[in-house]
Amino acid sequence: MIIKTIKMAVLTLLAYLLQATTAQYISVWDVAPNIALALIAVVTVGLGVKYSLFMSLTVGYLMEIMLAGMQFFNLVLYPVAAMLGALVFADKSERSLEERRARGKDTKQMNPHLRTPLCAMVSILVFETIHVIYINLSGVDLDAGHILRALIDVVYTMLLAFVFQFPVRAWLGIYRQNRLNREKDSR
Amino acid sequence: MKLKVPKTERRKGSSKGARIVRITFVTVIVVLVIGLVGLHLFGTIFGNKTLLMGDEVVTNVVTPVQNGFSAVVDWVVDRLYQLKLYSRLELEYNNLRQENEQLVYRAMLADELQYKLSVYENLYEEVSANESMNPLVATVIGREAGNYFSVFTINKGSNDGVKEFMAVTMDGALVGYTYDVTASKSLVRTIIDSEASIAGLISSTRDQGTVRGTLGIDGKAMCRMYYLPEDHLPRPGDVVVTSGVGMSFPKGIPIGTVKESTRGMESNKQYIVVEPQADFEHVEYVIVLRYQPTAGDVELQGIDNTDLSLVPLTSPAPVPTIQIGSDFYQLAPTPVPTETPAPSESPAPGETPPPADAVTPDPAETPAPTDNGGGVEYQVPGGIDENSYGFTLAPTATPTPTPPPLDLTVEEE
Repeated sequence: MIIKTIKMAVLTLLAYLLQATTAQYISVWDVAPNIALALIAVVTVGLGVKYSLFMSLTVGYLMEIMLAGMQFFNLVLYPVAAMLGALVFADKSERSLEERRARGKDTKQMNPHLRTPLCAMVSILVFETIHVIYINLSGVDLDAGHILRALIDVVYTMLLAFVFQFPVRAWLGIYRQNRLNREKDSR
Repeated sequence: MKLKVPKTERRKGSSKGARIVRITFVTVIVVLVIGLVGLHLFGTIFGNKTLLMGDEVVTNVVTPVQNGFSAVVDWVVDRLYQLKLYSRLELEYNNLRQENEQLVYRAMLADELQYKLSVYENLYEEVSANESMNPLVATVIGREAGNYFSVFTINKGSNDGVKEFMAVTMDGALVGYTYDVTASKSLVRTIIDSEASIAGLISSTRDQGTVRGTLGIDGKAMCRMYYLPEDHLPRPGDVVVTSGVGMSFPKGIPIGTVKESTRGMESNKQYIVVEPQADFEHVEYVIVLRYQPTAGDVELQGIDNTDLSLVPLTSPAPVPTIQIGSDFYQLAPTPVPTETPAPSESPAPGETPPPADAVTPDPAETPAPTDNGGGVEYQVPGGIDENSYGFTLAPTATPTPTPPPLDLTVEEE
């Protein structure tokens, strides 16, 4: 658990550093992706809501004190966006699954490799929506360009989340844990 | 034999102390993060800088890490950019080379067009200034590159109204004259050719002479001017123009400038050296002045025509011609007197005779005097005057009064 916590801390710092330094270099049509939210989505699906909250809160805090564009904006927005994504696409707990079973509903969860980009999509969608609303309230007339840029950001972040999930999940030991769990169940 | 125990099983069997350590570690981290966020919120809301000390600590820790990471990212980006450049180097090289060739071609084309434009502008200016001389622009289509003769061929002939001995100019200067004219082309003999002989005059003194080329004499692209009056010595820099005498040349076409005027200082030297104004090395387009002097022009040249024989010209106003050797000077037979008519009836004294039927004509309108005496004179394009040929004529010094002669008489004792 200590190792996992340290890995999480490193991943969190890496998410912030990548977002702060690298995102600008991989922009497409002058739209930079949100690497931090992509990694948060990977952690959300792979490790659960608690880790997601820890990571998003830390990234938001670092963004707040290091790259503050507006006060409390990143500090609030990252956890909120991550939690909204986690609300839909994070692993269901045994308790919630049992409840669904009792109600006769389907308890089969979607493949995590598909849930990861979808989780990223929800998070970045919230993130971009709030940004667009904010600049509109600031007096900027919205046009198709704003919407197009937001959509490009959403798609780009989804793709990054899809690509990042394989190495990140392997590094965090999620695949090995799943294999051990399957072996345990088979015995 | 030792069985391999899975990690999950091992974790279950770990000691209670290790578990406490793990929980404590995670708790500390979570509390640390939540505490930092809380301190930041409260410190910012209440404006307490003491509460923001945590932000400062985190900033001091993260900044060097971020600097290092940023440097690594920049390095990686630079390497990737170089790799991208190298991978596209050959393609870029070929593209740039092709683009460079196109640009060089365009630059050459632009230079050529610019040169042609300037040539056409000069030609147009010259043609516009001398429209009365019926100018015709012609292109040089061949030239003899000999050391003794300087002739070239132009693409205009008798079909275009070109006749022999018409003046050919370029850039406001005389180049030569046409000869051997066919239907579609003409030969032009330049003024530096030894065979060329053109009547010219010194613009400042109005002394007339004959300009001849020197190419066949000493190999130099110069002219010599012969038959100048003995009482004048032209100054170097004086402009030599056509005099309009002889061939159908307009008067006043610049030929060149006096370069060497040592006539009389050296024995047997009866000429002055004239440097042509035209650039014979770069003759591409010329203007043929299809000028045909009318009788009026000849009459009003305003020059001394004592050495010229008058040629009868067809003109509406017949000019009496005098031909040497004709019967004009011989004594004509006296006509036989006819019978004297009878005197008419004289009017009575005191009676006023009736006026004649013929009405007294009104005096004709006097023509306005012109500067050149009424003759057509070549206009140098661009308003070039004598002082525009690269030099300035020095004004003639005012003669000082001659001092009275000294009294040198010797008185006899």
